[in-house]
Amino acid sequence: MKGPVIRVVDLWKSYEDLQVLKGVSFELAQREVKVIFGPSGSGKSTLLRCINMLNPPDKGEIYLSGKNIMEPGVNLNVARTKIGMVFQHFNLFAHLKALDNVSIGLRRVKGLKKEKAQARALEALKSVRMAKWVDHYPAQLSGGQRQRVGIARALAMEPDVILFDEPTSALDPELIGEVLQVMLDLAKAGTTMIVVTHEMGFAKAVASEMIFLNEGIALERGTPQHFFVSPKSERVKKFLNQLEVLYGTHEELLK
Amino acid sequence: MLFQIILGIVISIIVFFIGIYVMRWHARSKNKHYAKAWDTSFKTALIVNIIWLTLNIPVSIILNFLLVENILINLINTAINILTGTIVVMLLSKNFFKKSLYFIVVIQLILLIASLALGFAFTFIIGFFVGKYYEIAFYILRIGLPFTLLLTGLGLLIGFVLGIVLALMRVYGGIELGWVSSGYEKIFRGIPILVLIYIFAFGLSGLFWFVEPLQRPLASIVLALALRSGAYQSQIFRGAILSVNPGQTDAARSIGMSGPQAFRHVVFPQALRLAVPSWSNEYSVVIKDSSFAYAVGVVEMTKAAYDYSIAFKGTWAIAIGIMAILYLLLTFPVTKLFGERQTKKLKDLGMGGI
Repeated sequence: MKGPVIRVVDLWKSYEDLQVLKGVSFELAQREVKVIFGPSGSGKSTLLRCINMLNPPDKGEIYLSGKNIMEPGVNLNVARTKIGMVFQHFNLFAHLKALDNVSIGLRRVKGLKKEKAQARALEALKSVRMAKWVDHYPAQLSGGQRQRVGIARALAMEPDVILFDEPTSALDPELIGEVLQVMLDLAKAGTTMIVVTHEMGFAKAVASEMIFLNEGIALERGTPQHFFVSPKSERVKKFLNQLEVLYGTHEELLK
Repeated sequence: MLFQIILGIVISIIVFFIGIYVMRWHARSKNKHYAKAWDTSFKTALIVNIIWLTLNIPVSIILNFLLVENILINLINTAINILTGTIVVMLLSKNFFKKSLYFIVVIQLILLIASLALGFAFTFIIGFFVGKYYEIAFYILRIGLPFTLLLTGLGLLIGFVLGIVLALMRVYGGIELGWVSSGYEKIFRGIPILVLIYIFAFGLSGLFWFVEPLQRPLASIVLALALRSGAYQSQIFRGAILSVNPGQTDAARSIGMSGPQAFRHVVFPQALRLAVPSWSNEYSVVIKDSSFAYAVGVVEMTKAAYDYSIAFKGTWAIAIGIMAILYLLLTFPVTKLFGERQTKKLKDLGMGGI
């Protein structure tokens, strides 16, 4: 399969009077890591939620492996098994232990037997270094650990692409590192990902393309090199400056 | 003899629980890092007290046969307990002999007083009850309790199914079904239960054509309790479903679950857990409402007490008083157990946030 995993064409979305997305388009090839960033309210999260149709867009086309999932009659539940999602606030199932959080999709959606599902869930948890914590409820885990379980949950379904919606924004600074490390490992292992984040160090390290989203428009796009050396628009320059002041670059974490 | 054996066992078990709590309290007041001390002290307390319990029951039974003196039995028991308790605590916490001895002596003194008081109280209360009171209570329980529990159980069960269906209609059913559901709630929450019972028992008794005529009052009460409880339970479940974080559904959908699957495997299990404290409250409401059954002649606890007081002159106040205590004993422990334990459990799961 050589075509793009995700192709978004001219996506529009509004919430009542508020026009959030105004014609966003991009392509995501296999094994590519795309970083989307921009000020709050620019539509980053909405874009991700449109891609897996949690919030269906008003207009446009979304192709998943060449098939338009916005056409009526497409089974979205099947499509979503191929699009993993990691949430800002983790959204782990509060009544289930870490292992069951990861295996429930395999059992209920993919119809695997309990033992097989748990074995695969354990694999996924191992890959995010959470094998020790399988028997803990989400409330017993730290934020960083919860997010790693969240990543494992997406990973276990073996999706074609994983969407990360500000995975580190709700974490204490000292917990960000462990999550970023897991994401770096995934990126290096060739996972196709779309990452909404303000972690510019992460973007610099693994992004193949970055998109700056501003007021629902992809204002500027290019390689990390392009953004950090010579961004074109003033808006991007100003925003990147602010980010550096606020968050730092976490470069020491990413070495 | 049987009475004394049972008394010995009951007192030993109660002392067992007092012992656990005293030991935990003691360990906690000694240790500032109390979260951890609470855990370990509980384990120690449990082990020590189980040993005491297994020792105390045979010892007090044997002593009961040899000496009838209550205080002597307790003193001998205490001596044995101090010895075994000290050894166990020494082994468990690798403490010095003196420290463990002090720890155990303090607890045993408290326990000695507790078991003396309990022994006295039990003998007194049971002696008191052997006679009229005991007879009345036994009569009410034997004649009335099965029907009270039957009415409550069926009312809650049917109300549960109804409540969930109504709550689902209200939350997911769109405007029309939501209207139906909320209209139902308004009607059945606005009519007194006695009026509902009269309506079904006398006005609409034709509804129960499939039931034997003599059983129709019973069926009408079950229906009235169920319909009313359904209205209340639908509120409980609606609140519980709505208080499950919407992010949970998002996450379930994002791994490919369909809407019904997400509800069944993610939202509903959590909503049920959230509903338990209010639901245990609903149990106590229904069991109390079941007493209205006396109005149409079904012999449950209220009617049994009433009948007794009619049959034997001068027992009215006693019969009603004992009945009140029995209702209290049937409601309070359940509400306490389910309500408080579940609230704590929910807190541990990070749900509900009370």
